[in-house]
Amino acid sequence: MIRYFPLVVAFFLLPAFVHAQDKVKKDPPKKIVVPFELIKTQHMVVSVKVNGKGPYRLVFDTGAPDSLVSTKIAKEAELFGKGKKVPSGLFGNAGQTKIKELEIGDLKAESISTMVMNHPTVEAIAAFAGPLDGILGFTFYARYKMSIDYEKNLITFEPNAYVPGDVMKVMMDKMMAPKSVREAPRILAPAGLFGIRVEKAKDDEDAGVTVKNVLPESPAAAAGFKTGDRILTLDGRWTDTVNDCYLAAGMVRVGSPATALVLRDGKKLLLKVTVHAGL
Amino acid sequence: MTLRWLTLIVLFAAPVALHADEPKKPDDKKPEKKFNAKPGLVPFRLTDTHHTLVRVKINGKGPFNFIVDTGCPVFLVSEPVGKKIGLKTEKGWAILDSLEMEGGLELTKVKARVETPFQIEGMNGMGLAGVELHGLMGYTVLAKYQMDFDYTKKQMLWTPLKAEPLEPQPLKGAKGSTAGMDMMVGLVRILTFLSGIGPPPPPQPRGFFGFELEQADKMVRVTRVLADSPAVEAGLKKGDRIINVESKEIAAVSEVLQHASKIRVGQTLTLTIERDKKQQELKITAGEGF
Repeated sequence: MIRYFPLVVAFFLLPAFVHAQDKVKKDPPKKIVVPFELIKTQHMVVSVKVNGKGPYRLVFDTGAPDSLVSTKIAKEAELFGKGKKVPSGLFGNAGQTKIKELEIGDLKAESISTMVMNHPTVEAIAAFAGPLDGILGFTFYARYKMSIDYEKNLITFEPNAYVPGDVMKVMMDKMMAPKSVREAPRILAPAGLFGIRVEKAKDDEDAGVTVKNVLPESPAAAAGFKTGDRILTLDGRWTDTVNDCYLAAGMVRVGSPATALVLRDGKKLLLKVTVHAGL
Repeated sequence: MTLRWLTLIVLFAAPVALHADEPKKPDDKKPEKKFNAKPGLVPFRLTDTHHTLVRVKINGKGPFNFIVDTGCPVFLVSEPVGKKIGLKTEKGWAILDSLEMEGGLELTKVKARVETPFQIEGMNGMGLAGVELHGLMGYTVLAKYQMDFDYTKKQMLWTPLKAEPLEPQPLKGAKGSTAGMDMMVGLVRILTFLSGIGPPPPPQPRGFFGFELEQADKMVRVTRVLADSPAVEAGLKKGDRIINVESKEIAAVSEVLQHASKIRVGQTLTLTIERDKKQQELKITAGEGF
């Protein structure tokens, strides 16, 4: 523990970070196909230009909620403004900023949130598998309907109008929230009204939950649910706990039918339920 | 503030690199190759940390929560989960007899790495994702599919590919090249500890009331009150107009749902309604159900 202490102190010397809201950007809706390279470590690497500079090699990472570029990119692409110095903390951390224009193949994206840092994991991979300058994450790819083909080593992008929120801000708000808020249980709210009660005994480890009762004239009654039915899936999602049911119920859409897989008298049935606006 | 910020940076944009042990040599028992080109819909959701979460059952046990992670070279099961399933490991590697994905896709004889990466340890330690994470679904499983993502949808489409993914490669960089990574592991433990933030309690269902609504011209009315429901007991009637919910003015059905979204079983929902041109307050005690 002690040997890390100087590092911990060093965090307090980190530069401030830039915050700005993501803008809704409308790219022309067309499919763009981009090649990727599968490097020795089995990471996908794409070639990008940042504010016209580059090309740079970034790991294409669906597990990264943010994007990340090295301080080298930050300097060359002038991410902190023309002629301005790039702030530098531990691991070259310069905080959060925006890439004005990011090009990948024929695709141009604007205003992509990214952090600036020389990430040790990226550097370790680079030392083994060739140069890398960062990571392309959720702040970029969530804006597109995306298809990853590992056989042809191609990614297809098509704008989907989705606006990825600022996860770093969400997380900061979450971490800075008062203890009472942080430690309150999450409430799982259904999206609409089904009219059904389900239960599961503590020692019951079989798949699904059991229908305790179905309210008369409810959407669940109209769908044909009966007391004693074992619900195995709802809207394609497993319902192995009561909470699972509520999670699935939170994601159905009011007015559009959802399918439930139900076990009744040893037979599997598919029931279609259309939930109503209500609670 | 800065400390917590750094914790996030360390946890977030971080690909996972295989680090210590050699992967097991492919043994004589080659994975069963049953090519089934039928595509499958894979339900997903976004965690609070903006990770793409899918659920799997391993050897019939679960479901477990996995992040779809092209930045991870292997299918990685956290150690506590490995223990829970009773996975037999050899130098940190295990073979999963079956890997079922929510939505119906299934694989057999899947090679998995059993270890807990610092990202998962850190996120679970502070409950950041809003859900407990059990592993990372990386290249060795993902590369078996052509994956179609769309964050405006609730499901992904995964189409099996014929080509088998390559064997995972551990890092064999220049000496000392992984020192920074090792440091990260220690950092995350310390930062998690210093943050004083622990995992949240398990989620709880919202309560049930039993009435349906419709909206016209910024007015929300009750269209049906279900028999045997808390709403009928509280005296709510069809045709009532909802004026306030929890003292907040209502102009849309979504607002009713939003203001009632935190009411648990046994708690009270307070409504102001208008009936026969008179306003009155109603209290509904939330029951169980959805």
